[in-house]
Amino acid sequence: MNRDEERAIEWEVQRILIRLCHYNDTRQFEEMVNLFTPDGVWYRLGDALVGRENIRKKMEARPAGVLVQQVLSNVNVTVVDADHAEAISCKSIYRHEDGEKLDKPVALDGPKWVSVYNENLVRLDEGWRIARKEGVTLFERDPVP
Amino acid sequence: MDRDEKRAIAWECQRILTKFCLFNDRKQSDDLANLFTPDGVWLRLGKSLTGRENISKAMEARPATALHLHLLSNVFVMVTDADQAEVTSYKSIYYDAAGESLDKPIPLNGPKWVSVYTDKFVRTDEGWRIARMEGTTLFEGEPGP
Repeated sequence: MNRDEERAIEWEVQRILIRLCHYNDTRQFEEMVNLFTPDGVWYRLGDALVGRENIRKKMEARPAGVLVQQVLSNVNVTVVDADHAEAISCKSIYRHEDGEKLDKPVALDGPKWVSVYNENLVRLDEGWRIARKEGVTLFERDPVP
Repeated sequence: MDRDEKRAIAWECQRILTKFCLFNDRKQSDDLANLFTPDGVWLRLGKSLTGRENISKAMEARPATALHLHLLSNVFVMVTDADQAEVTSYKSIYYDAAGESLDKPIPLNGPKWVSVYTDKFVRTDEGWRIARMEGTTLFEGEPGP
């Protein structure tokens, strides 16, 4: 595979991760889970969510009023072959309880979490999809008094 | 040079900087040093580190317990010609002096530093490499809780 082909894959994978943040933050969970493979696994907060339906149910169980913004950065893509890639990325996650109900901007206390993610992606007929996602939260802000 | 060629160079330079952050945060000092040209210069904390060995040594001299997370953004690549480019970028750097030895997540008090970097890249037989890196710290946070 030449660099032009690898670069195209790197671009597609980054685009999937950007869309994942967008759909997460805008609560478009159907679109969000379709970025996973049908049997994709997301290791999230100690749980293994397997398959699109389980991921969607978990997302829909989150409180509706919470404002979340996941700021993606440092997307490092390693192309394994024409149909497989691995990505390492960082997220700074801003969060405010009841933020969706408030006038914007809401008070800012910095990111709530800063995390590093590892993802395995595969190329399907529908495009590149996430087969496995796992994150580690490195930093967490305490509740503001 | 057409826009496709410039876009490809911009992507390659951004990819090198993303790797720089990853290798820096993971203490992969030799991998980090190999992102520079053999005679590359890194103007770091008032010192001029010249050549891969000196860069690697300076990285190795950092305390093993220190946790860094370099969040890269605003990568602006100005392609000079087919073999040279100048790049400005921002880094928000999260830090904890004892973080590697602590359970995660560790308390977050915002980024420790926010910096702007100006780098010169050249195309070598190994690919695009950093010939010169210089950063300026614009903001520095208070010690954490």
